[in-house]
Amino acid sequence: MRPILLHGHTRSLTKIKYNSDGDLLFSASKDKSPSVWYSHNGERLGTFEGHGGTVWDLDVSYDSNRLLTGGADGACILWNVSNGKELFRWTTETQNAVRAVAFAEGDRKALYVTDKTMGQSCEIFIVEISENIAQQTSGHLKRIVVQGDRATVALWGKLNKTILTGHSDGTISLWNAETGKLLKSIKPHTKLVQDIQFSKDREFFITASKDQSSLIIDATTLEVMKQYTADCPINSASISPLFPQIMLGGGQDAMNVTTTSARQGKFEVRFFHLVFEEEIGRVKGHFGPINTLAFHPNGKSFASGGEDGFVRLHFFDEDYFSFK
Amino acid sequence: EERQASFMRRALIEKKKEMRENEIAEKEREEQRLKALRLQQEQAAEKIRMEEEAKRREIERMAQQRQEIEKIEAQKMAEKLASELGEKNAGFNRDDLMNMDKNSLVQLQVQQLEKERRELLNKTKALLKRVDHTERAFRKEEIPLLKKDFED
Amino acid sequence: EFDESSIDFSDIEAKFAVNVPTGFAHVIVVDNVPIVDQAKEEKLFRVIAKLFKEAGAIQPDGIHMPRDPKTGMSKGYLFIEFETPESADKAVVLFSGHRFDKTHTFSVAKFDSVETYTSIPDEFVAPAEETFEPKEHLLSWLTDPRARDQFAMVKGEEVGVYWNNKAEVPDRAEARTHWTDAYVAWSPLGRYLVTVHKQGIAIWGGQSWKKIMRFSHPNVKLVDFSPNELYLVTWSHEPFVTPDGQHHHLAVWDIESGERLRTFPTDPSTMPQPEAQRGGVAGPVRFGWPIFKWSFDSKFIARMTPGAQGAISIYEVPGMGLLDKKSIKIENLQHFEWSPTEHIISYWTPESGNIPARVTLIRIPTREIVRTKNLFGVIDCKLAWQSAGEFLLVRVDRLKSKKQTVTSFEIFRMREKDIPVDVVEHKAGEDISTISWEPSGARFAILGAEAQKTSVSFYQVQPPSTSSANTGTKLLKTQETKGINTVSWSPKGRFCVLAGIRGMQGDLQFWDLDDQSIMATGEHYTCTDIDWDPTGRYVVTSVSAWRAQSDTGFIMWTFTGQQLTKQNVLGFKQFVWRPRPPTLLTPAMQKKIRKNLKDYSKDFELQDAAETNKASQEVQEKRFSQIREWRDFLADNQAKYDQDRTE
Repeated sequence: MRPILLHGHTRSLTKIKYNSDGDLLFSASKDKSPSVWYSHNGERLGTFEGHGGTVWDLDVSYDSNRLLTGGADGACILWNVSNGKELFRWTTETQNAVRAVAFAEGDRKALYVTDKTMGQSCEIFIVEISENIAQQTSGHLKRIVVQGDRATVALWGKLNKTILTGHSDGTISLWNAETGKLLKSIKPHTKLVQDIQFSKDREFFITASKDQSSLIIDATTLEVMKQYTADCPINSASISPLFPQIMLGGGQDAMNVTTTSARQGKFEVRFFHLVFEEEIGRVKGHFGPINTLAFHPNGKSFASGGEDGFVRLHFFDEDYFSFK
Repeated sequence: EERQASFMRRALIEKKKEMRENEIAEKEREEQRLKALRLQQEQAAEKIRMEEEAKRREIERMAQQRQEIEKIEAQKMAEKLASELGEKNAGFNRDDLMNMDKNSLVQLQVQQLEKERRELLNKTKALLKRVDHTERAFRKEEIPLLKKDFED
Repeated sequence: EFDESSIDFSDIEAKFAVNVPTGFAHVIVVDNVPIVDQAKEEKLFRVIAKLFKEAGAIQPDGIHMPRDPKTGMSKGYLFIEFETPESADKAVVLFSGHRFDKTHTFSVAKFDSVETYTSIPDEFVAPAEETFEPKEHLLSWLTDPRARDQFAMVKGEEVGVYWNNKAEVPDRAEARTHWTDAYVAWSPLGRYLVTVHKQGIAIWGGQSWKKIMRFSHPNVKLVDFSPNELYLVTWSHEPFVTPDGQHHHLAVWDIESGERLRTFPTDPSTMPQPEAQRGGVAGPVRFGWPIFKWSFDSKFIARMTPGAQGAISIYEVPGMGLLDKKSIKIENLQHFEWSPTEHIISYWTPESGNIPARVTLIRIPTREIVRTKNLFGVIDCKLAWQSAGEFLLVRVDRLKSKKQTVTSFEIFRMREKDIPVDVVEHKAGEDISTISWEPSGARFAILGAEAQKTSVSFYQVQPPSTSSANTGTKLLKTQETKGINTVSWSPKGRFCVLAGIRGMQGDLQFWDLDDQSIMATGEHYTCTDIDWDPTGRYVVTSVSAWRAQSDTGFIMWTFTGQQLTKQNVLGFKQFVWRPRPPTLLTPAMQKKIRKNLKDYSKDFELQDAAETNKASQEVQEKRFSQIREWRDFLADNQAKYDQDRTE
């Protein structure tokens, strides 16, 4: 089936995410207006206006009522999804960028990660989300200072016991979410970790790194289980909830594009067999590198967001489901 | 005195008459005013009604026009589709096609494209098999001839 | 210096060093001499001596003629010792192909060049005598039970010959590093693999891939085989300098004996220009080559002298004597081509004075003119034969206005009485870049450009109907095509690939001409070459390191445009399918097979299934273990998950 093209963002996509039901797709881009779309037809429901710059990350609550975004303007904003109104805002002291945001399971807690900038170290803030917004405060439950290279991505581990971070030097770290203590750290990549996404059960996760590889790692032991390689930097990776498959997206950075095919729609999403680590197929279409990928929760479609400012919704052919 | 009395009476009657006349005139004027007012109101209402009527008609006209445009478009599309299908010798009923609305036509076209894609796939699959198998069958039969040729 | 050409390939060099080859530089071998008895020897020697004196002084008693001790008859060849090696060189040039009498045309070679046939240098041994090693079957690859074909690939310094296994990894038949110094080629029927070296050409074959023959030609660049693989022509920009100071760039060789039959100078105006290549390594060059054109049956070889003093010179092999001792004079000759199936030569001459431009068909060797056609207002013509020789297409460009040219196609129907000609006017204003006949077919494709638009047109020559002589040639289809500059037909016809290669984006369109539709489109970015396998089942597109800096390698497609495999190969230079000789099956046998194809198909389907299974068995086993490991992992996870959630 033909992919649906979501026009709306004027600049590169940074993050896309489906809600848990899969009827909505949220997108963040460098154009400071996160958007929400109907995932079945690509119609835009609305935008969330309030950020002053690039929005780096977003997360949607399990009940789809609230959206959390973090941006280069140093703000982490909680939104009401149904009306697009800003509910609450945390701001960083020196306005250093918020790089990653995430709701904890149960949506009562959240985290946001700030960038390492001049004199300011990279920090993970854990905040409580009040059910009644009137009682929301800007204080935080925990503040973890990240030593070494900055964290680029962060997720809550299962049952909110741990926090998982990926770093600019290729490190993956596991933290105790209660105490803020670093539990374990490995360096399976040689370059920046651009994305980490969990499996459905949160027992393992997939990484995407600029070092042109992607790994499946056990979320408890940080043991590397599988490896997938591409011939270009990988920006995003996602695990199919339906089949033993993963997909990767990326591409040469714009300035290096001249050495490869700079043609229209040459940038491809690559599918690999999760277990055999073999490439199964490719879907092309983007005009620039693919920055972010997400499987629909039912595994029957997926979305990709590109440097070209487009989000593409792909629905798998029938043939795909008969694939063994 | 009697004259005085009669004069008085007459004057009184005259006065009453006059008063009554005045009263009637007053009443008539009032009636007239009310009538005018009523008329004015009615006119205003009529104007509104007419405006609404005009608006309604305009909407109807627009809708009709849109429908007509759509019909023309559908017709055009049907024609195009018919000629395309005709070219491809696909079975179809021209009248059915002409009576379809735009949405169904688009759907039909999508179906048609999908059908063509599958047909092409089947065609190339069959071609591939036939060409490959023919070549292999030739080779199979040629091998003994080649071997004989080597011996000579 | 000529002698150096005989110092050959490295493996032979050691031998030469011991044998001191310079000792025989003044000796020549003359073959195809009349066979005579003892009585006539003296007379023959007198005639020979008188003749060869022209090249220089012959040593006293310098003529030797071996005889058969049993019969006392001579063996048909003799040796002449000159005073100087220069005289010997000159004799080779002067008397190669010399017609001694009606039945004897000399073939002359330096003794050095045939010396390698013998290991006893101080005794005269017949140069062409058979070595008694049992010959390998040079066609054994044709009997592959899986009906696979071979291809040669050059990557980096390695040359490999492989069996095509479609999507699976190819089986290697042979691979050697530094097998060639430049490129490789196959002989036209696939018998020999050709390698190109500084010292000359070598040909290889058989199951052991041993060297079958070599041809010393310093800095050789180009090779052309006769269609029957018995002769070859080589060209080097570095000339042989003949004793009388002439520069000879071309050499004609006998493949079986390795003998150089004759050398020729090249007219500077018709000299092939090897393309400038990155890195200085040249791939095979086709433009302007071959200079010598073979008749279909390899009996004649012809070349032309263009211009006012134009002529076509035809030589008979192996004697290399000029046919009828004179060239065919054709004033203002522009271009000629042999018919691919008859002894007919077509050529054209432009307008000159009162004489119009003209296309002429002439029969060889009678020189009878078969057909001429006058053409008016012509600025250029191109001749293109259909591969079965049924049609000759002449593309005629005329000036319509100062800036606009119009093109028409004149199709000569060779198989019909009096050779009728169809004339088709092509769309005015289109610049035609390519004309390409369907192999053995009646269709041809042309690529044209008008303003910024490029398009492809397919024409069909209609079969003659019973009522009239012919029903003309008609346009089948014209379609706008973007980014296309090449037409590549399946060798079996019907299917063709339109492609944009060498400087274009590498777009590919897979056409089926039976319904003039595109079966599939594809892309091979920066594609430089397209090569159909000889059976028309596969097409390989490739990016050669000779022309591109990155992404070198090849993609193999089915003829329907389905990608079978993509191989990125570092230092990839060349991919060449091995040609096949014509099938031994008669048309009747082929027809029968086609009719019963279903019976064969059943077997092939089983065979394919079995092969897939076999090939994947190992993979499957590995996969099963991988799956098992993963399932264990998932089960552990499930346990952990359940435990966690119940806590």
